Amino acid sequence: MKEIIKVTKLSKNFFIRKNFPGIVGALKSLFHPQTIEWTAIKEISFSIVQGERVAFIGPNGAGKSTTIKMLTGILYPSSGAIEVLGLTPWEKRSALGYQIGTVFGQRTQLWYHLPPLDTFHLLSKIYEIDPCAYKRRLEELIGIFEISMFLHKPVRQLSLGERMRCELVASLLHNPQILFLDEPTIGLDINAKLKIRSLLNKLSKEYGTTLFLTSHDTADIEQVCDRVIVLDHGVIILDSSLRELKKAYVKKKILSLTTDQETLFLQIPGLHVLENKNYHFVCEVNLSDTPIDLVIHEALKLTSLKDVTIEDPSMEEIIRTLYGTTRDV
Amino acid sequence: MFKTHKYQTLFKFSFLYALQNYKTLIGLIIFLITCMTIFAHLWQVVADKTEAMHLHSSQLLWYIAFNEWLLIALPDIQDDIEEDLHSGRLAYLLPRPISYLWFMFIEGLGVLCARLIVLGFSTFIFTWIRTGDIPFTWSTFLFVIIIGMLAGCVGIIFKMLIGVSAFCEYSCALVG
Repeated sequence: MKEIIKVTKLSKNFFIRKNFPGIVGALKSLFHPQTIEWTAIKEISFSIVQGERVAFIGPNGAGKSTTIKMLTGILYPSSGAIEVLGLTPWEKRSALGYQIGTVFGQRTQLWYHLPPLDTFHLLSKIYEIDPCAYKRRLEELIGIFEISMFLHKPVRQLSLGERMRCELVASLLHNPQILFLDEPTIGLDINAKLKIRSLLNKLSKEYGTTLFLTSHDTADIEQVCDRVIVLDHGVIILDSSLRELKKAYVKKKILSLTTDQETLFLQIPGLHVLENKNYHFVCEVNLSDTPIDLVIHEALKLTSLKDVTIEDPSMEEIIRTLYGTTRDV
Repeated sequence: MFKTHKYQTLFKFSFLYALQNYKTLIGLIIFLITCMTIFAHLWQVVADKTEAMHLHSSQLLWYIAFNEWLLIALPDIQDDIEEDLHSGRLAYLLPRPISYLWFMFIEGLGVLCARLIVLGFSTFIFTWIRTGDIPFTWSTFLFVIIIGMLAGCVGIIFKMLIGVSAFCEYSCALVG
């Protein structure tokens, strides 16, 4: 598979001006400014192949947005190399602009007082899309994103979910090979989030668009991405497929049993009982201490089972564990 | 290469945008008329006290009208640039295959033209009704409009420079 993003030993340092409080402090800052060097990204390396759907996650201040800004050519790196579609982003930002799309959840590219159709038309000119190709593409995207009902409504009258669908269409008009999404579902209600996720999946399948997504919502990661890169304090702490991540970090399972007895008493190492009443027994099983089949086997010795459910911990818990691990380090 | 059709479309949309944002235009008209009324009275009082007024009061009001027309029509582009930087909207605008500064200039020009037309019409009517005469020839009037447009362009450039200075506050390097 063709590598379309290649990042090698990428670092970014910022110089932050130190401000002192009060009038004296303000004068001091003015005549004797002091700066602090802060490293946002520390020698990260990764590559992404065409069609991949990558979640680039990390806690606040981890350096996710800084990395996206460097990948799109907005920021210069302090050191290291980036190649996006064979181009160095900050040198060929304009040329790269024709081949990438960006969606930033908290910001808008649509003109507030005009209907989305006007912004689409303006973008078609900016991206120099052939009028026939633009018409075709717009019709396709209107169909996929189901936005025909509010195409002529001023943006200020759209709901956040509707606006976000229009933002996605605006970012996809020029048929970009890579779509950078920075928290695309932030602030949306549950239905709008589901809609956006399913649309992103559809887009990736139908057009083979590479998705590079940052989000704090673990459901975005689970439902859209197939690979996860975890960033913390500017360093990549994990880069693996979603399946491998679960395999490596799911050390515990949640076991729910519906029994014949009102309560169940099991004394097994690595077992943490979460609920034990009304014929319902729920426990957390530490897999490194006890295999799950042993727990079921022991339970069967005491009672018959009407129902058995085994669940993985939530993605959120896995990610939290991951962040926690690095914080401890 | 400077691709004019992009900028023509951008000009058209920003012009349209300024007209769609009619509430702002109404606010500006009210502000302009208030300013003109106050300044006209103020100048009259100053002139009476100091005997400094060499112009006829109607000429003076036309002079104030032209000044205020241009100054109030200038879009606050420095605020837009600062807002783009602070809100992070710049992240949308910079990766596009269009120069950000040209984008801002043309956008400002579109807004300026829309405002010059709307405010110009209101100012003209107001001043004409108030003074009852037009103390200049139509060729002078045309000349003033052209000069006004050029001065507006200079104003936009100055306001852009002020806006761009906001970048100095940030350690992020603007590319290109």
